[in-house]
Amino acid sequence: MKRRAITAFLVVGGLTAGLLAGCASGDKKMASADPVADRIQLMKKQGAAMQDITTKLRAGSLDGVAANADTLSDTAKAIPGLFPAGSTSPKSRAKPEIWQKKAEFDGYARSLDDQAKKVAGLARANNLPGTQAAVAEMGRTTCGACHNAFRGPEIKS
Amino acid sequence: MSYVLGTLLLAFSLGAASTAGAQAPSQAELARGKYIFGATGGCGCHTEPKQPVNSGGRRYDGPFGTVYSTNITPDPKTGIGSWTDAQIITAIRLGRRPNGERLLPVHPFTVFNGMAEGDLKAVTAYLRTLPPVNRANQPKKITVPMFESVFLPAWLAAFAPKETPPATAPTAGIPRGEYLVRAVGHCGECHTPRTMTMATDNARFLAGNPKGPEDSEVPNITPDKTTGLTWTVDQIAEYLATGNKPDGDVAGGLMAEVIQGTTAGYKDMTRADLLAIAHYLKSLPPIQNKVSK
Repeated sequence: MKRRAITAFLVVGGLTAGLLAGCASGDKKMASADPVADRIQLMKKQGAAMQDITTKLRAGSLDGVAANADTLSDTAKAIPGLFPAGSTSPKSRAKPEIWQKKAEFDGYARSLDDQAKKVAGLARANNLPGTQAAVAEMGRTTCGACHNAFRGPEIKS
Repeated sequence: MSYVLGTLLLAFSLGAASTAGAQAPSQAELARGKYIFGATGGCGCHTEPKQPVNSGGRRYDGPFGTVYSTNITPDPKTGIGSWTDAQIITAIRLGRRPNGERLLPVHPFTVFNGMAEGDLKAVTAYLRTLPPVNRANQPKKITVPMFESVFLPAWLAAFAPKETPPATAPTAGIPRGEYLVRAVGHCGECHTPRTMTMATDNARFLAGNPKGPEDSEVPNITPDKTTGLTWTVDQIAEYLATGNKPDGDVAGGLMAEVIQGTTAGYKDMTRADLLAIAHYLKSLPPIQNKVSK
């Protein structure tokens, strides 16, 4: 009885550890149970980071810009995995073009990662005009361009 | 005989002079021309995405049929290279080609008529500096009978907004903002709702258009608190300079195109001009018109 309990404990413990390890290694390894909800949350998080960046830069400050850019870079990595085939939804603004041109879509996510890293670097180097220019370019060539190609109109509630 | 020859030679040299520019434009005038060109959105209607600047070919469908924007590069055969400055300005602001043909007001010439002569001359000089592109214009396909002979002149007389040009362009403040918004930027062409005759509903200037060009939903940018633009002056100026929106989102679609422009765009305008535009927008009557976006 005790031996069985120990075995059960070890099996459950091992499974839990494996599950946690899977979670800890990043979203892209563990498939999301609700990719639509998760990606909406992710984009909101990115929007908030971008909002703080632009507010600070508008005021001539670099405060928090690098950290926010790190957030953009980290979340960008999760984007491709949150758009599995067939995950359209009436709640989602994702256009079918995403899956017709997945390589292009994933390319924008990679570009966001790269450009956000560039922004973080410039902010850490205390380069205000460089950071402002890099943020404008990132917004235009990555966020804006991807939305233009792959995001549909607002969902009327 | 020699009198005729002499007259012909004189006419030829005058013609050549006005085509080439009797005096070469100064660097300052070309810079001004490029700036105003950018403030129009870089004449983006005349440029297809990823095609050479001003080479035309962009398609516009309407109840009249289909037209394609023209090649306005300095190519002498397929562009406007052989037109005089006066002919170019007449086309821009009065909607007539040298052969007498009328432009359809897809090119909003009655609105551009609100531009000062000095700015139009500068833009014309600048247009001549861009690379010539050999690209023949696509013929229009008008499906309405007697459209150009009867309907269009009547429509223009009845419905086209009648802007009159100032002697010189305003340089600061609300008058500058108004000039840039109404005439140069021709913002109303996208942002003002249309009536059933496809004219802009001028009583609802900038109140948004749910069926804008290229299937866009164009927002209400009057300062209406519930359905219009509630951004601050700084936020408006920043948006026009970068495409960054206050909520962290970024401009897409046609606004992204005009902010970026072609060889110049809204992003190249001075902060003072962008603030003047923002102040002018804030000064407009708020008009309630919900365009979901």
